[in-house]
Amino acid sequence: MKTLIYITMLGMYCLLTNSALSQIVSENQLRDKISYWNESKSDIVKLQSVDQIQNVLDKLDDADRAVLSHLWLTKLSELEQVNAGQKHWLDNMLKSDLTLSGYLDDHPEKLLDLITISRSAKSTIRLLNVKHLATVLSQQWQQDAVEWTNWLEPQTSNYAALIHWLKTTSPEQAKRISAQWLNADLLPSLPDNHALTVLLTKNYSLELVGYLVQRRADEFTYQYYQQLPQTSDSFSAIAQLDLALGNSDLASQAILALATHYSHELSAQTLIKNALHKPSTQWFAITALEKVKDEEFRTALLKRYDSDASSLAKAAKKQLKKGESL
Amino acid sequence: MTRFSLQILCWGLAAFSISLSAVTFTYTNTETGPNNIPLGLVVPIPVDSLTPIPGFRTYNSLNLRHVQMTDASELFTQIQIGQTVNGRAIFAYSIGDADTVTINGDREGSALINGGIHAREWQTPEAVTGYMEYLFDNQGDQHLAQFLLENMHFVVIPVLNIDGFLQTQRFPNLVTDTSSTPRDGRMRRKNMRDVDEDIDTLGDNLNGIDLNRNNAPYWATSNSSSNDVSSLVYHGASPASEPETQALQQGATVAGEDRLRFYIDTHSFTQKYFASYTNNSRRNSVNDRIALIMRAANNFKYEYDPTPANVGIGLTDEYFANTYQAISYTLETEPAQSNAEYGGTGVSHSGFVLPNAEVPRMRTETTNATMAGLYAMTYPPSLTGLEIVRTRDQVSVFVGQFVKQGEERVLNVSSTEPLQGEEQYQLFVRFNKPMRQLENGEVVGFSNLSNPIGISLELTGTIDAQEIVYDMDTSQGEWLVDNEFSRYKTDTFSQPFSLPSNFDWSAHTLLSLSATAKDFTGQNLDADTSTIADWQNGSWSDYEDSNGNSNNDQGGTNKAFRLIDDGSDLFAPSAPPPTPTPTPAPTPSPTPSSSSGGGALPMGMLMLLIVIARRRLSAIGHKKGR
Ligand SMILES: [Zn+2]
Repeated sequence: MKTLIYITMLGMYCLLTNSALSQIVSENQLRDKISYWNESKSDIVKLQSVDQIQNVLDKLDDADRAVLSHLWLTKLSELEQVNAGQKHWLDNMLKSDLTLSGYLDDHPEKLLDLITISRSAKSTIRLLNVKHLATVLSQQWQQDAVEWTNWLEPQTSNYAALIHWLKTTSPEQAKRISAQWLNADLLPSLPDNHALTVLLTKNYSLELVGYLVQRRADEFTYQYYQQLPQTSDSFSAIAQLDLALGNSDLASQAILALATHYSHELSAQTLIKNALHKPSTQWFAITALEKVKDEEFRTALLKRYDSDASSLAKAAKKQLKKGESL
Repeated sequence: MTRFSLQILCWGLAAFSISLSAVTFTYTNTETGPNNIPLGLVVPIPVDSLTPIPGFRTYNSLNLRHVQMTDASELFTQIQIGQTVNGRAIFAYSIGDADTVTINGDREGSALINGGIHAREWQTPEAVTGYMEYLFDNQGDQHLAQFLLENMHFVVIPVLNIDGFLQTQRFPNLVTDTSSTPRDGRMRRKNMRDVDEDIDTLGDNLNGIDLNRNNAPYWATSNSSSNDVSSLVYHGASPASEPETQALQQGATVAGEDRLRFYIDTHSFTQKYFASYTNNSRRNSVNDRIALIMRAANNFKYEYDPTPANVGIGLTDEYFANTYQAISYTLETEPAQSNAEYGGTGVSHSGFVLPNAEVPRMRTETTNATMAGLYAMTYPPSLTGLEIVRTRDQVSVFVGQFVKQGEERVLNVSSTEPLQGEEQYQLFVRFNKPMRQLENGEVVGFSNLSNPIGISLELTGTIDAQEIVYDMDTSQGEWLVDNEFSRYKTDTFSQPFSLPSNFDWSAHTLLSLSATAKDFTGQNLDADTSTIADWQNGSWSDYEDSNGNSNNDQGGTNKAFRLIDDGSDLFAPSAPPPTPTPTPAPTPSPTPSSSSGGGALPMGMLMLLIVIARRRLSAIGHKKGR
């Protein structure tokens, strides 16, 4: 008899855990739940004692449990470090099979995972780890004890921590790091241009930009150059764009930036005119002429193309005239 | 801290200090904080570049890239099809040669391709611009791109919802509402009706019309759209109430309403092709087949999900399927669930933020898929010419070509000499389209839909009212990619063959080539070359199967080339098979014979002759295209 009750209980437990752990909500329900916890119950979301939070969670249905667990995991990820109780709770959450799925309004035919507690826990642990490693790196650096190659493995938490830390450095620190990297001939070992471009954003060095444009252009190179007008003065920006023109993958971006932001500068005008002559760049340069704001430069170019009947000249004149009306 | 992130911090502070501001959240890589949403991946910032990059381009530079293509190629033309709610010009690009006929003089179909209808779906202007760049970069490739440009008319709208797209690019890492249901800024979906361009303004962030719920015929007929202005799927005041929707419909006018046979709207994410069935079952079947082809291009990583006829939620694909009986899709690009598929945190809605590094691959994959679908919809494969060259002296013993006369094609035979037993010949079978995919110049298969050879050829004849078959071993033949093809690489198959020693030309009352081949997307040949296949009212007309039926869009074996013509009907029941006598037995060819003196040449010798033959043929020039 006892065994039977045991088996029945076990069966019910299995039934409960299996059927109830995946909840389906609509986008509006999710929004309402998030708002409810963040606004009406923000004092609970702020709770950081594991016992308190577990107490609250135990009384909730699965959907609310998923939302609150997720919000609390997010809160944990914002800490610099977690205590033993929190660490234990995090590890438990890694094993959770609690999920919240939904048919979002914009994808009504596809059931999407909106919140997966194990994944939220995993990303919290990852984010905390990156922060922790960044602190370790910072301390090592202050003690002049960094073994840089340990931090350059792509797609690792160590590399993410290096980036995370570099973003927090001062221009003065960035300058010292750049010098150390150059001394140690570290640039060829960089897995991509992420670290290099973060350093450059902190502390501009034409020498480092020279290295950057010699490397294969990747997403970080493009993003770096895109932010040039915000991060550099005209003089150094034009010098960097001049270097970029030597890398065929960066040429169209460089020409467009020169035409859009620096067409009033004589040095930029020279670079644009050179690009107009070069067969590999002339179409990009012609198209970019629409962006030339400098009246005098535009008039001079129009005059130059005036007697030219080629299709290139025709397009150039069209683009220059379009720019006039902008 | 960069000036950029300082700026964001300032916005954040401003949002905090002015109590009437909307709460904003910032997408970050690994930085955490009360109003941060870490993606675990670099947050893309749009880049001003005319060339494709690992990442997303600004609307401004995409637009300039489109202009550049129109300036640099006569095949590209810019047409304004309308303007946005905020008065920005919406452009379509008409792509293809100027005429409205194919290279064979037949009616040319058109395709309408739409991108950027939902603002936050940044992949779509990149994907659609990728199609344009593929056609632009490969316009003289003598293969797929040239074939498409010469035989199809494309109308491409890279960004329909320009106002919304600009709003998302203005705030590439900012959103409002909640962190799990982010809206406006980077996560704006709808157009910009009754919305200002600030993200801080309280009360207007949720406004706008969902342009993909704003369409007839199923406008406001389901609970997948809403009458609530703040809903993500607000359907607007009436069908096509929005100028952007009207512009899209204008795209069909530019494409030619009577020619429109293919429509695709591009979205992200969930990695699926959606389609809407209509009451035209043949159209639905072709719709299924073209979906299969597009999915095959990426090894079926995309799902296909057609919905039943007579119901809908106001999508553009429903409008084009029902209004024009066009083949019609809503493509949802990758990922299937979230950015966890690329190593990100997988936070809700992260599927809309494809990592920069994945963009080039996504562009290539969507281009390959869409081009394959368009290739199939341009026209079914058909035979155009047959030539038999005697290897020994390079004399053409049979030259036949189908030429257009009025509304049909007739076989024009310019020379015939009787074929001899044990003589080596080279057969050139010519088609109306490139028949095989190429990879680095080599003929390759296309997923599970075609293999590198994929053709069977035989001569079938009648002697004394009995059928006789002369097989050919097509593994010895090849699709031509160097210089003997007609117009497109792989539009010609070259096959060596010989006939048995007892072959007697004069004993035959009928001798024809029987060709069974599929184009690279698996479409069978048009079995009746004389009637011209065309897309009419949502199905293929005059696309006959092996029995002459043209009501099933299937195609079949083509026996239209007759070397000896008895005048019988093409689809007459064939003569009974031969009685089991040894005369004359079908022989696979070429036969490296060891016995019969003066028989088949040794293989090496034969190859040498083929090489010589090819040189000669190329020297005299066998280009037949127009
Ligand atoms: Zn969409």
